[in-house]
Amino acid sequence: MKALMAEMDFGRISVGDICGKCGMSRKSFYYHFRDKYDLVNWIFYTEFISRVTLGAAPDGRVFLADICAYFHENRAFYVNAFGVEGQNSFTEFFAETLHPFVFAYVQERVGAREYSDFFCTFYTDALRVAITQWLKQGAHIPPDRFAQLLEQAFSGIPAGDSNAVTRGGL
Amino acid sequence: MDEKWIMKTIAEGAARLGIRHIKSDPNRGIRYMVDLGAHFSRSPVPQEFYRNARRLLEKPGSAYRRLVSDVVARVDAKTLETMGVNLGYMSWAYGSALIRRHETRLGYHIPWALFLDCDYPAPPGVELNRLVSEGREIGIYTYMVFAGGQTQDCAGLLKLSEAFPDCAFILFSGSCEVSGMLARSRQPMRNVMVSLEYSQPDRAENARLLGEKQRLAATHCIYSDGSADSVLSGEALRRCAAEGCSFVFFIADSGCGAETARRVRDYVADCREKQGYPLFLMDLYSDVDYVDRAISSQAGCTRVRCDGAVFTGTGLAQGVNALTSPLERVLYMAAPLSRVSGLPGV
Repeated sequence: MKALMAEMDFGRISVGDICGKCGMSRKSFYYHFRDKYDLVNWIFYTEFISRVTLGAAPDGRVFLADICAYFHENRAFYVNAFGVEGQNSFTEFFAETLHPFVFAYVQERVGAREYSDFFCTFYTDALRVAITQWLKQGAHIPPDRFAQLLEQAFSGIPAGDSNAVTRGGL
Repeated sequence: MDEKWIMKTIAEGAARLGIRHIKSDPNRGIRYMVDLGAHFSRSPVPQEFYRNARRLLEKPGSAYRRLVSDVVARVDAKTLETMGVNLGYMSWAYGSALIRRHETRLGYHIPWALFLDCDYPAPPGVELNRLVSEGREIGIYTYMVFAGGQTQDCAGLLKLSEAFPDCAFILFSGSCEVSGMLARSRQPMRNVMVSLEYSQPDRAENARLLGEKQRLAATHCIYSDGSADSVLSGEALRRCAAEGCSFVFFIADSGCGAETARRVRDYVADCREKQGYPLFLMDLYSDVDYVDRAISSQAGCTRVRCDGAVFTGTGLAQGVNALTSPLERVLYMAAPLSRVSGLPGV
């Protein structure tokens, strides 16, 4: 699948192409995966999570750096994958995978307040778009530097009193 | 955001994903869940579990496929996710690693699951929170709690489970009163499985109430030397299957002999393999023992009664009271590594 996505747009790849490339029957493919979207999500989930779980003592900072390094190493694949939107797309799957981590980070800064959901959605989307743009533009910023920039952008989440918003504090 | 939290969040995400897949496409979803679990398992217990799951699910006409999709359809998704993570990750992966580390350093056996016998008169103001809190520190994240006619504070047992949301609690109810209370409770009970004793007259009604609330529920049959034949005849399992139970525990009573326990254990293993009944079957003590042996250099069930008495496979541990001593000292006195034996028989 990775080899195919380095050659052509995701939309043009068929299950037949995938099976032909890896010598698998269609029956075997559908035994495990619902469709090609499922396969892309599986690849991300298993590769990325394996990387995180095999690494030494991840914390939030290391976790973010790992995400960026992984996408950088597989940029041809993910530029293509991020180009697909809609139900069960990788874009949606990635956002859903990130959500609990961003939520925890936001909660650490603003607490379990009325607007923590807002900040969580905002920053999950921002993270996803930032990574997508970085990859589409050739990922010229080295991954560790990019991770630092993301971290600095996250540090913009207002800490403490989110009621400052209702008082026109933004 | 430390390592434990990150790993737990990943496990929760995987559980949520798997459950969603099973709901939308049961056959493929179950395979997905097992493949995902097998892919990520590093510890021996989950690895063995997923290896066996794959083997059993691949059998033509496997009863477990329908059983899994039934459970996913009937039980609240958040409860399944929570119990799955608390057992599969907190207990068998994270907890088991802690246990091995502490056993090596401290020289006594740490059970992966602690038995709490609350069906006994207890001194006033007994709090089990300390025991569970100390248990977590050394890797114990699963608690088998027995409650019945002599339990003084049933509601307190649910509060205990709420106080430790990352632990798995299996509440074995030995009386209609306790069963009724649990069945009617409005607490979330996300990290609780309620097991109703087989011979209780109100069991079907309480099981129905638990089902309405989408609780994770089971039935348990206590057997003795005299009653084991009714277990071995299949009568109990036929009835449980007909009633739509999903989980069944067989539990040896305190006087049960080793030979009877062995016969029931072999019977359960045979039923599981042949998949003759659409049920998840467990012989409680032998299965807990089995997991213990996979985690520790030795196995040994440790039971704490709510008056502080401690029991192991060799009987009452002398000179130790769990209410007045730290849990580490209790386990040290009760189960130093050279003295541990297997099934309790107490």
